[in-house]
Amino acid sequence: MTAYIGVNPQLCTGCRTCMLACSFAFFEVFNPSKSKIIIERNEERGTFDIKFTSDCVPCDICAKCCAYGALTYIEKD
Amino acid sequence: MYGYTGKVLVIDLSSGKVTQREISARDCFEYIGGLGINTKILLDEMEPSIDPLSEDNVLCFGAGPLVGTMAPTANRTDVCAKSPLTGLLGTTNSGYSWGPELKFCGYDHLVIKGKSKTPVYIFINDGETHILSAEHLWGKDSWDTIRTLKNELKDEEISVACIGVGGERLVRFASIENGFYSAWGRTGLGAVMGSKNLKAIALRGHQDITVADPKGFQESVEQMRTRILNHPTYKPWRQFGSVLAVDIFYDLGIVTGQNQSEQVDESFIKTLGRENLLRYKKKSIACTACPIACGHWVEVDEGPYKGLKLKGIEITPTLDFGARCGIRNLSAVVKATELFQRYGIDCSTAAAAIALAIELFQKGIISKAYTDGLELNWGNESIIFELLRKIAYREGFGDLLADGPVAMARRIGKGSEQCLTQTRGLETSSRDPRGRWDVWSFGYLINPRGGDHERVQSPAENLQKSAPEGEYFYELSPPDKVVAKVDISDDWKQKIFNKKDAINIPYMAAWSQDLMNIVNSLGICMRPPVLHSLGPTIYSRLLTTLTGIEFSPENVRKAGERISNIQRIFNFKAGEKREDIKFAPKFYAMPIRGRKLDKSKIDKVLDKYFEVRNWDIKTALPKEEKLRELNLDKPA
Repeated sequence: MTAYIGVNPQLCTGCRTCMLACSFAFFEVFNPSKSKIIIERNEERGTFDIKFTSDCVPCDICAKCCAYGALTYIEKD
Repeated sequence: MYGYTGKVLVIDLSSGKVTQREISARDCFEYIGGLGINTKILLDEMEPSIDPLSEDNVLCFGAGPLVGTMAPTANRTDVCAKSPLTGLLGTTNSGYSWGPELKFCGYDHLVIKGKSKTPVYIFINDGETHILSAEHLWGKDSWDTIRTLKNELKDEEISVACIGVGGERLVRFASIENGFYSAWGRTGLGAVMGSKNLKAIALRGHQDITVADPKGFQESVEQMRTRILNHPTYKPWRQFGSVLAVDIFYDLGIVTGQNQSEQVDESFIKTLGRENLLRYKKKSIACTACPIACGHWVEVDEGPYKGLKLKGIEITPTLDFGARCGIRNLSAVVKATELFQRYGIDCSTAAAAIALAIELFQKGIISKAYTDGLELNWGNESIIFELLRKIAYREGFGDLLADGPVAMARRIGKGSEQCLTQTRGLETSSRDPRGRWDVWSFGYLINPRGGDHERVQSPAENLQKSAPEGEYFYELSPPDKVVAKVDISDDWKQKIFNKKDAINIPYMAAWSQDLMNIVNSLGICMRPPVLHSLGPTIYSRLLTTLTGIEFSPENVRKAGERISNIQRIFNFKAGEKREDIKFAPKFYAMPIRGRKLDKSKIDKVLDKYFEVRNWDIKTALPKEEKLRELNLDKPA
């Protein structure tokens, strides 16, 4: 079974809760630079790009804390 | 330390000296952080009687202990200094990402002293602090400044606090812009930055925020999040943000226009009511760690402002430029938002200065000889925008407006002071106290930064019905099931709800003011889904699990009370007397729908509030017994 995170950048509000939750889940600290999910904010355009580091092994931490439906944890056989 | 970085960065711009010092655990326990520790630093390190635009003023940025964590809405930074507008404690609060970034740089507080000889900006890159030339930035508007800094530091992720032209020209209500989306708007602290020749503070941090009890903190965060997401105000705030309240206040009949001279008519709600937002809103924008996203990305695709895109449409500019100045076009309010942000001037005081000018012109107190030949009429968008520009550059008539409405009326004379709407030097919101008397309206009077609405917010309101006219001690309470859920300690509940279906205003005002101090010291947001669903019980759990310092709900409440006390001591030392704590004459003299404020009755409520606080009713200063209880020194 494989898992991945489905993303919908249009629903992303740029809150970065996912980045804080990711660093907290894996390192027990808050530090966005340690997060495996990255939200790149383009404030002048009001857009947010959702990216993942190469060592991200998808889990449901980021999707569970997204209040906006921008991230969905999907498992596939 | 856990939660806190434990460090204060002090930069003396006169000498260029940069030092670090530790925060004591006692200060954390007694003042929490953010607003509380900022105010303590001001009282300890500056003389409140100084000239606010001199190098003696101390500018403090404080991110609370929760900031930078995933506690919902924990992104707020309070900025404090002596206000060049009011002469009292200047304090202003803003969210988005600057505060979290300060924590990731390794600091809870940043203290700026002295004055640079030439324009500079500060770049804090983790533990390294650089004071760099800002000659190339001086004269740029705030958005151009932020873009230039992101380009030259080659990092899109830096967070920037900066001033626009307004701060450079020492407009006494200049803002400090907080990135492209937000601002520390009230009380003119952008002018304090300008007086120090400080154009911007850019931050980039990669350091950890550690947690004393990760499992316990996670549980407290989940509890906080669940309460916010399940609160009845959550969904409407998600959709409309603060403009939700435009319709609520209009329906209550408490929005006044034309510089608070008359109740607004139906054209106001038709053109500026909340449904109009949906024509422009493209998506929601959130501050860091916020599950509400009350901000809107708006795009104007028709009319004279076609092509305008920004985060905007909030209740404050809607009331300020819509009600107060008479604009009846939401896209023009969006344009005003772009202008006051780029210029770096406070929306509310700018609109109040313009509205005062229009009223004085309409009454014949000033003429075109005063206004650089401009004909001032209510709702004339292009004239209002031209006045914004003149204020920011202190050009011609704008120079008079740039000192703020109170100084402006004093200079013009001829009865113009009767047209002021300022309470303790800061304008009272267009949610008019004559329309409805409640904790909100009484809060204008006791707010230590002057008469705005943001420092005394009740966690329990009845917005369906108002108390009978002439009642000043009580407002109507919400239903019992709502009251039962509000996190107020039992002893305070007995005093606040001591009469059936009613809220005792002096007690609730004291509780609400202390609660807002806690919120602004923790570094979380005061939007209704937060303020109405949370209180000292959960805040004490969050603090204890995050920091490892044992806080009880009563310890947290007491910290809020201690902050209220030192705020009053600061203002007393700055020269404010008991008799200065009053509304502008307009509210006592000019009726709206037949209602005006009764000063003698309000003074009785004020005396009771001082009694609740154990303050002397003649001086409004804490009595010795209260000072001892709070471990405070007697003010000299």
